[in-house]
Amino acid sequence: MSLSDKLLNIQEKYIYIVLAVLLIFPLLKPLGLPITIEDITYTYYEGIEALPSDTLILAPHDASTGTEMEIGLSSHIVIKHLFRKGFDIVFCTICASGPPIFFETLKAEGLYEQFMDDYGTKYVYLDFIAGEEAGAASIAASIRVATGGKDYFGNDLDSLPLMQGVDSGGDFDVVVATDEHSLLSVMWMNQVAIPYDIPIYCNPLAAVGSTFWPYIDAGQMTAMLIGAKGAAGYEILMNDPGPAAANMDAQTFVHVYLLILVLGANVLLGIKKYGGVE
Amino acid sequence: MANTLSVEIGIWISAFMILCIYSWLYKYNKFFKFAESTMIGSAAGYLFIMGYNNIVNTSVRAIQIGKYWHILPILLGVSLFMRYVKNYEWIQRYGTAYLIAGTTAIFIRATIVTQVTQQIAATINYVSMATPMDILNSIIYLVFIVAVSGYFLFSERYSTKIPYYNVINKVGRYGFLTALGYYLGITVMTRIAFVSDRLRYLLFTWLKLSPF
Amino acid sequence: MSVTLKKHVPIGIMLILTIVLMVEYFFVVPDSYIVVTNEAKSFTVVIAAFAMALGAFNILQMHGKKVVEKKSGWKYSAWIITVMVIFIVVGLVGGSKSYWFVWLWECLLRQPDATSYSLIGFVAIYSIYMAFRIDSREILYFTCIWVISFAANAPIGPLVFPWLPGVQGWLKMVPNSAATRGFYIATALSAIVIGIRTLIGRTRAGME
Repeated sequence: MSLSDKLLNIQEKYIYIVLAVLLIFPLLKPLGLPITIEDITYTYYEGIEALPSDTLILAPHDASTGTEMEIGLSSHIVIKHLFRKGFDIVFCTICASGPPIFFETLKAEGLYEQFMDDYGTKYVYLDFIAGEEAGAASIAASIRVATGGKDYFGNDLDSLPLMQGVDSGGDFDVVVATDEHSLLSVMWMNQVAIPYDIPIYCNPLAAVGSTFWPYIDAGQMTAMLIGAKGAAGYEILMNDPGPAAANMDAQTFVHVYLLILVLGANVLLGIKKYGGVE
Repeated sequence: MANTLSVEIGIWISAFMILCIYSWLYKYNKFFKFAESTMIGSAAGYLFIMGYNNIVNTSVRAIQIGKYWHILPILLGVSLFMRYVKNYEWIQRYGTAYLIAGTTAIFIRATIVTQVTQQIAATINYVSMATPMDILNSIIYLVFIVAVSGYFLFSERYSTKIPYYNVINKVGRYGFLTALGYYLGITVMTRIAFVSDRLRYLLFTWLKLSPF
Repeated sequence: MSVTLKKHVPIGIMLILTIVLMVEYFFVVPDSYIVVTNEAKSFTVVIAAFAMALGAFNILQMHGKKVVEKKSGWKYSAWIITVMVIFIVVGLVGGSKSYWFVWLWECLLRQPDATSYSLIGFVAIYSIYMAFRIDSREILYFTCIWVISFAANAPIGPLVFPWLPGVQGWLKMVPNSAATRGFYIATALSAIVIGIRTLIGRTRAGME
């Protein structure tokens, strides 16, 4: 096998080993490589900043174990921002893994005590509702019917000051999908944001976010934080660099690595085909 | 003390599971099969409990406060389990029918507005003749939308019925390749973030290393 | 009578529920109508919750049969059932909010599930390296789009090539957005047609 053939057919294990090294090195020795912030991240941040302090937010936190690794980066910083601004927030979820991940997020950001102290007056957590889009539609129609009239802790919703006069999607000012598994924020857009004509902010996976541009263009979604890069940019805007910003060094290394692999392979292929070189 | 110990044991069990899953990268083996089986059983058990809680919190609670019509969803839900009873499998069609109708109707009615009419309206609003670049963008936009829609909606059997089918097919294919190429360029970041998160857990949570 | 009960009544349920929910969305209806549809939607949620629980029974049936008949891999099936039963017992006794239930979820579901998703990262890198070999015009076009999008998305990309964000931005908002929109319209129309066919009983999805 010639050298070019070997380089064009590198075994999987060597690719994986180099990938692992390129990911481990920046985790252990952060380099602080520069990060660019996308325009849509600015739009998201400035949109949240501009909301009045008495805004009532519906915050679906649809975390799933499979996608939390990337979306968790943005959900942590967005929840921190919402708490810092002092909004009234009703959290809910249509994802089965939502509740434990939500409380873990609060504890990780040091917000759990604040959440429990102001529970009922500024924050409410509705329990998991099955059925995905049917669950979102049920919450949008009537929270009391969808949840059986009680919250996650078993409190009567009518006994909570925040829930006085709040029962349907139209009673909220903004939807901020603080965490989003796959296409669930499209379901919230379909069932709450568009029927009740209220803005929706979401933070999808980078992979999924690239398909949301038609919604942004049509004005159906207000803004989005796209994946780990959006989360890193948001942390910088919040002056609170954290795991997302730290992740960007690894992203840079792997992006360069893959570009070298793909472009190098094609250049070699071209030389082999047209240069007559073995 | 018990709490700290259980957390520490939990971290070691989690790390073992992670390494079992990653062993697949070398080859499919018994450790991976063990971890995979654990995941399947856990997922089934976890979803059972979450579903059970949802049923108790909504319908059972509603019946307890006098909303007796909530016996209906319980009966329809139980009918789903009739698939396991010989000669009575047809009863599960009642629960399935309600579930399909409920979810489909909710999905379709929103989709008609958000994915069709509002998207078409946004396309019309996009068209602009202000500058030469706007004109070019508008032409590309309209051509791609029509071609990609046609590429997906009309299969080979329409090739003789639709004029310029081959052109629509080719342009639609390139349009879809554009979207797919753009999508793939972004998706690698997601995959790398996943791997990075796992390595971070192993290095910082399990091995208790810290960045230097 | 038998055919009516087995076939026509379920289709009738689908039709009636669909019409009720569609009318609510597209027409102005009295409040009493909305009360009924709110309950109808919550019924869907409850039945979906039963479907979640159905998964456990399916696992029990499938893997239980394997254990009883001692087929190949029956030990793994026995382990699956054991883990499932442990989760259910802990969840029913302590509740889903209890420390041990969440501890079990963390160790036995969350971490391995997240790791199995991350396997795609490794496989994706290798697949892209092997697949993107330019030998036709379409692959050349596809690879060019991919390179621009990929390089611009790299955190350092726009700093090394300042013109990249502009090109990527145009790519994102014009051809990509147009193609994605075309895809959405086509799939939405197809989904609507398939949904209507299912609701009037022209397809038998889930109704065997």
